[in-house]
Amino acid sequence: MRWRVLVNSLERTGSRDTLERFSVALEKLGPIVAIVLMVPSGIALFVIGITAGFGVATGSWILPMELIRFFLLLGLALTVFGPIILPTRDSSNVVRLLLLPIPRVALYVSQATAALADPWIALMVPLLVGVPIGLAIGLQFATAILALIAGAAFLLFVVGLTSLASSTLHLLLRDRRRGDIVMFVLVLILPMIGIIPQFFFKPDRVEGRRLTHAERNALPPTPLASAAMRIAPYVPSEAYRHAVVEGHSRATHAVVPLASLGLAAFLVQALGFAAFVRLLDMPVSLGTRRAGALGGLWDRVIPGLSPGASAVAFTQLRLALRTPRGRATIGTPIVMPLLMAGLAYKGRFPPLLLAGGAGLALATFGSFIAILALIPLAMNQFAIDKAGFTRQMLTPLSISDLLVGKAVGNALIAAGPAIVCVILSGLIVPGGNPALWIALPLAVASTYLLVAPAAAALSAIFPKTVDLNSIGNNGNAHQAAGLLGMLSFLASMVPSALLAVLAIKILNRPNLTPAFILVWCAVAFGISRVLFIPVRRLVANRVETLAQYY
Amino acid sequence: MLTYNCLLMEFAVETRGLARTFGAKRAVDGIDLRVATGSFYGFLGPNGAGKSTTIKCLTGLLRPSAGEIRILGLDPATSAVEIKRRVGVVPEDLALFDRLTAAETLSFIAQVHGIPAETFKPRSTDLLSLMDLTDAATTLVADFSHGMRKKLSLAAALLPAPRLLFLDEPFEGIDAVASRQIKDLLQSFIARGGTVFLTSHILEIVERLSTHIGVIASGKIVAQGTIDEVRGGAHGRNSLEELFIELVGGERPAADINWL
Repeated sequence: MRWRVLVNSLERTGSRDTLERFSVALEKLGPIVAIVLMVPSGIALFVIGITAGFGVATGSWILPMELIRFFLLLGLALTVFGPIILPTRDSSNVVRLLLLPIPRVALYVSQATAALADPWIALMVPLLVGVPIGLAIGLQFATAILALIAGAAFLLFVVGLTSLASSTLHLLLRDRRRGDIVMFVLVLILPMIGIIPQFFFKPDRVEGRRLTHAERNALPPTPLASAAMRIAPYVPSEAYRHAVVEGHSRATHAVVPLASLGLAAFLVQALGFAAFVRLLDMPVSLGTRRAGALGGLWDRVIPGLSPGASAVAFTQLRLALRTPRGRATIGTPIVMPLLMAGLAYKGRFPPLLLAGGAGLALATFGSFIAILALIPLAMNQFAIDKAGFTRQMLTPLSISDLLVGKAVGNALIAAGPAIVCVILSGLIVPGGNPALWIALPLAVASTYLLVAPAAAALSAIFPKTVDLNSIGNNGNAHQAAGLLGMLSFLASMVPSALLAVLAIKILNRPNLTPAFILVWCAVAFGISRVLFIPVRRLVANRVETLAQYY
Repeated sequence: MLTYNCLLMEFAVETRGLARTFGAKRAVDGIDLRVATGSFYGFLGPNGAGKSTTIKCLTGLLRPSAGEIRILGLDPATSAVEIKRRVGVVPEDLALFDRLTAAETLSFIAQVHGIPAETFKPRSTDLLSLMDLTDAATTLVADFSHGMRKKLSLAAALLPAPRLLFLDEPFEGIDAVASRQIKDLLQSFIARGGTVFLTSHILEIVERLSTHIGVIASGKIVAQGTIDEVRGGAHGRNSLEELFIELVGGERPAADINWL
């Protein structure tokens, strides 16, 4: 089907111009490449599985089994987050399926089986099949049968967990207001996943001093690591490993891990079925969301803007405030530096942040993250309005006002968290050269001035229908727009960074930095205005296409 | 070349040879429309005949492939913003921001049209009350039913007190009470010199409200004029339904599906 969609998107139709066909084709190519790449990955994992099985059978290699252990653990983690990352799997289909004369158990089985199509689960299959084959090659037939049963139980567990996670998420989202809160919380948690493992490791430094290997080993494990070690034996991936490895030494040793794995699979399937049935009983969304007037703030006109541009800017800001994706754009830049500060405090972060200007470094990091976090909204700024874009085109709003309004609206979205981040950083780690603190907002402003026209142009060239309630790929801008937007952001940062280096390192006069960057800011403003001239023409020419994205 | 006098405008909408192609398909095929100022113009046609494409061309959402358009005497190619100041539109997809409330939607329209707060507030109150949306004024549009969305889209079109209204299926999904109120409102709008360009599949409504009709089939205008004029050209058939079916060539034998 993906192939058919790609071919259709490349075909010339009356309502799709060449640029749009190119844009759609690029968007569809990503998943196809991913599927193609899965074939060699599957073969490689199958080989690893056989090697691990053979290694256990002959008692020669431990490493492949350890790889499997971590792969299965990673797969489990992805299984829990899968329904959040891929929220389109089954939410709307449930209602349609209810119209058909299909028993609920059959519906559940079909929904649960669909989880096997998730890449991380699909890739587990060759691995779990490979292990018993490897054991059989090593002539350990009884252990091979045990491994086969353990693998089946593990897969049953994973499939049940996916179904449970998916149904639970949809049950939570059924109430719209509660759903907004849940998605916002998840959206804040997800970017931190990469940092969380840092809290499991022992610190590298204590009070700024790097610890020796022996000193580090002598430290007690972190509280999180201790907790993880206590839970580990009950994790199904560990139970699978125990069943295979201990079953090889003596079959009776495999009984406990195998039984715990089977029980876990049964429980999770039962819970998954219960949650699914509950979802079927009332699949519609409940509740209405109301919005406050904020003392008439939204009716005011932003100084320096026309009423139309101001209305567009406030509409963009409200869109961010009222969608989980938008709230994440605002929340992430505040939370990330706080986490970084926490890591720095624990000694997990070396010199850059612990040097004299740690607060300034945190503020700089947070401010630029604020612009970076804008990418899903700014690089798809027209299509995210959905039918609202058509409304704007039906009103006496000029393209200039639309572009100015969008640019200012995006700036307002980024400015709030950037300011909070700078203040928090200053409070948490005070100190540093005041001139550099002054230069920071100027550098951020000059960067944004150059990113804004690029964002408008990329949004016009690569529009994408998105769901800002989703935090997975459904809420992202077009891949090409995201990538080029990131590059434009990095390129826009360079002049400010070079000027700072010139003042601080080469001239050795950091106090000159704000003056240098202020001049650059004025130049960037001029460049931005010039760049917006062709962008205005581009957007005017793309109105027909953009009005279809809802 | 069309020539106009804005003050003594005979036609609120006039097109000559208007065409819009999508690749090889000619969705609108050189139509000449004439919508008299102060008229209630019903624009009819079967599914896929080109009604919505025509409205999109007239409201500036689609660029014509060929032909000329004049809206209230102005050329959309050069006076698009000026035209949009005087025109209200309820498009096919309703064109509403999901994440604004009903009150905020109207406020957005007021700001873009430059309507001062003292004028906007009573208008907004009147329209929300007329559309029975007062209680839902602070609810997000995302949580509205289709009928509520349609009413809000109509309120948004009426807010700037336009001189010309384009309404694409405005009564579909609207309850009988609101429908009656809206019909009365539109008739009073016409009585005050406004012009309505309406598409609808509910022929009874078109017949009851319209002073003029235009019928489009396969992208071409097959009949245009007052209802009586069009009737005269269709062998004196009485009901608009019979007239419509004859004009668009839709008379087909009843389906014989005995298994049903």
